[in-house]
Amino acid sequence: MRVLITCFAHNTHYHPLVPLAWALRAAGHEVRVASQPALTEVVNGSGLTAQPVGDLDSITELMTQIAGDPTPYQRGLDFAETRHLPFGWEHALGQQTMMTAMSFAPLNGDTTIDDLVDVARSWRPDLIVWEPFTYAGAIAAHVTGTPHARVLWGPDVVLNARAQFLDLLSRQPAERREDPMAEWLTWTLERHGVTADAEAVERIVTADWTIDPAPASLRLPAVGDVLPMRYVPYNGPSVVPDWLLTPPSRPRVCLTLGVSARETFGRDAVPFEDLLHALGDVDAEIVATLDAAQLADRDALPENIRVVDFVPLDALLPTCSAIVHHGGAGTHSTATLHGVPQIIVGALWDAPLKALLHAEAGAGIDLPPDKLDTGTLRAAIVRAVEDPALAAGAKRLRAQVLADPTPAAVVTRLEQLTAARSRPTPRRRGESQ
Amino acid sequence: MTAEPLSAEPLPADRTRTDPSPAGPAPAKRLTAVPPVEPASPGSPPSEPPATEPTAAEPVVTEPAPAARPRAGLAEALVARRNQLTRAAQWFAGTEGDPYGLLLRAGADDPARHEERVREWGPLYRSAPLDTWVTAHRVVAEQVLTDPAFDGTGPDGTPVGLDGLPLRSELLSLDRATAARLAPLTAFGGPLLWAREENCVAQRAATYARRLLEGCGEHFDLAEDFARRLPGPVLAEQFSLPDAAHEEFARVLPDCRHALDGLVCPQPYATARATRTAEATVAALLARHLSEAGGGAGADTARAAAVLAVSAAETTAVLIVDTVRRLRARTGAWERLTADPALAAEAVRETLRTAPPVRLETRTTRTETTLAGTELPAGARVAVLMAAAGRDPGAPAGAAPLGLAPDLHFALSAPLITSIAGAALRTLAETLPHLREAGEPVIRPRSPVLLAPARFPVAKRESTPCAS
Repeated sequence: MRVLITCFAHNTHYHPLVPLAWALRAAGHEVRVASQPALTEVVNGSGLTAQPVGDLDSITELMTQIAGDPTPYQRGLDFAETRHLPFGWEHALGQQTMMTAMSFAPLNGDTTIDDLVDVARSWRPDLIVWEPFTYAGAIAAHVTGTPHARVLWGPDVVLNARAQFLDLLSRQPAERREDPMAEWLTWTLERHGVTADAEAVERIVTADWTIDPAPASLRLPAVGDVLPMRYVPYNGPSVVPDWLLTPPSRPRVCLTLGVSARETFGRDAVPFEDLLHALGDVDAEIVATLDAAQLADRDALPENIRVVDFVPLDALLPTCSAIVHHGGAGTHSTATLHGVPQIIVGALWDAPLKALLHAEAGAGIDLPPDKLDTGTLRAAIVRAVEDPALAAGAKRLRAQVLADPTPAAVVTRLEQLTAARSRPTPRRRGESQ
Repeated sequence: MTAEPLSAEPLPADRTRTDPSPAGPAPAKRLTAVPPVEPASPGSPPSEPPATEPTAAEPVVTEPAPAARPRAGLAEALVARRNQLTRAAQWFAGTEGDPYGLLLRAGADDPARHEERVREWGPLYRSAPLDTWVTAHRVVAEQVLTDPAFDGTGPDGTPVGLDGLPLRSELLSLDRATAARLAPLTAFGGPLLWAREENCVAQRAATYARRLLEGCGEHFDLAEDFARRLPGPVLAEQFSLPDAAHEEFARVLPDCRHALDGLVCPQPYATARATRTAEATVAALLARHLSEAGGGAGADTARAAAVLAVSAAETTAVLIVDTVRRLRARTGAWERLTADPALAAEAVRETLRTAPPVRLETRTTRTETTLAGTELPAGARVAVLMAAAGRDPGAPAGAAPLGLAPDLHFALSAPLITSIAGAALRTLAETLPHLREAGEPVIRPRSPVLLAPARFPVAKRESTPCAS
């Protein structure tokens, strides 16, 4: 097969696609990765072939408009809080309005969409695989009649929110119905001369298949055809440090804040150094991944704190008894794979939901950012290290991950599904049915 | 928002390498060829035709996508995107608790609640997320609507908020000087309204109203089947349009219904596009038939007619339905009107006083100015909550009703709106004294200015009990 993998230019959205791309390549398929030129080096760094498309203009423009800080715009999404609550029309419409105008449309600029359609027409892939924000891939697939699959990196909040939205939409009086996502896709498809109706819109957003690397307990209800896949970490080009070869003499805890540390920790005026100092009397080795800018004086830290600039989590986490993180996709999935109890300080997108799901699965602790201080962090770490129930819960999740089909097995399944799928070319505008 | 924190992936790797985050995009460089990293896969993939690519030295980066095909509709797509983004910004402002944002969001909740929050703030509330000064105070409202420092367009001639509302009505984007020049053309007995006096317009409106009601069945929609269909033929007749044009004008005019709400609140893209088309059709039709009518001032005449028509049509429809609804909601009020239909004009005036159809007006400052003790720079956006200011308990005693704004488009259309609505109400009272609600009314979404009824189902007669 020819497989076109699409992801907007962000490495952490791209990384979860890499093991599947490798599996496709190793099975003999032709694989190209289409993204904006800014991702080219990252794609090449993962050993794959890049197909540059479009530009980042629409993303840059949005970042300018929101002054570079997307954090406040998370309010109103509330994937965690509303999961079990009756979900009102206004809330659902707000989610769709915000997600479409402030994420999906800007992340998929028109030049990117147009280039991808051209690539799909010219290279004629048998399958298009897309990162779940990269609707440009789905649009190109729809316009060219190519089967397509989306690969998740977290709970499927988007399609679950959409399912609830569509249900509420159907109960609105006809005059009050509006669908921002359909609106965007409609004018976009029409630009490509393709008729857009409700069915076309749902076929695009649902894809033919959703590949879900989450263990069963962390999966939201399935929308459409879901192919479970075992999560295989790709941390980017990595080197294992020497100190990691020595087994820890006491429980090891990873504390990683990622690129969003400023949002989740700094905002509430809990200086990071204060947090580390408060952990000085915990009977554990704390491995904190930080850069110089996050720490003024690393010499003054307690002796049980090891500060490192970078360490591949896939190598570090098997040696850890717990991890504190902010709910990022790769960190979360890698920790789940290695059966490490997780303390999740989640603020953005699906992170609060992940925190909730881990707490419900008995495999982690939900520590909302507004509850985080030296006391709550210390208590959470002590509990995560000492509570055998949490360790057992994390092990159960690991077993679930390992029970899912490997990327190689998913490739075999995709070969069958793609071969079986004969798709009609989408109706051109003006053609009768 | 960027995707970076959305997925919030904190791999430490990010900090040690060049991060191609969209927040700080790397310079776009398109590599055309770099050395191969590996020989191409020797094996043939299953169910796969022979590879068509070079196998020995496959470039790691393929050629850029063919860009020869013209990019269709990019500029219009940008307009659509901007329209959606403004809606999201207003929605977000509401999420933040901003009462002006909640007003523009125009959800199912009662706007009076948000209007009162603005009033409680003081004479001038600052909506930071929407960069707008907002007032619910009568005296401040009066200043904004009459002080020459405020206008419909800013110092550079740009209409209020055009940047975020690329699809806003062009006809309703005039400044005060233009409105003042055009207003005499739309006076009763002027070059556009042949009826020499209001009374005469009202009589013609009553004739059309009666005709429309005769065409309605036992159950009909007061908004769609009556109120929205009335202003078109009345105006067409006043403009002396020939038959074919009369019919087209009356058919298309109701499609301009979203123009007023679209001045502050982005309408759904398809709706906004349809409104723009309808407006252009109305303007072209009037230009075709009226340009000669005014002699040298023909262009002004046609423009005045178009501004009059687009600002009057939906406002009149809303005023009619709102007045019926208000009277029906008050015990005995509808019955008093049907007993004495001559009270109709006063009933309409009372609606204008207590629940005006236009709840929200925006202006921009032409120059630096002081409003309610606050220094405003030139180009500052100001929103007047007309409904709230109209019911301001702090208003000076004996203040005249606020009603419709005295400037801009309503300087051309306010008298006609009142006149047609009064005639419509009177005709309803005379011909359908037993009119009653016959279903749930529905308010149109994204209608923060008019709270326009999308539907208002009524029946002509009192329901009679079943024979059994």
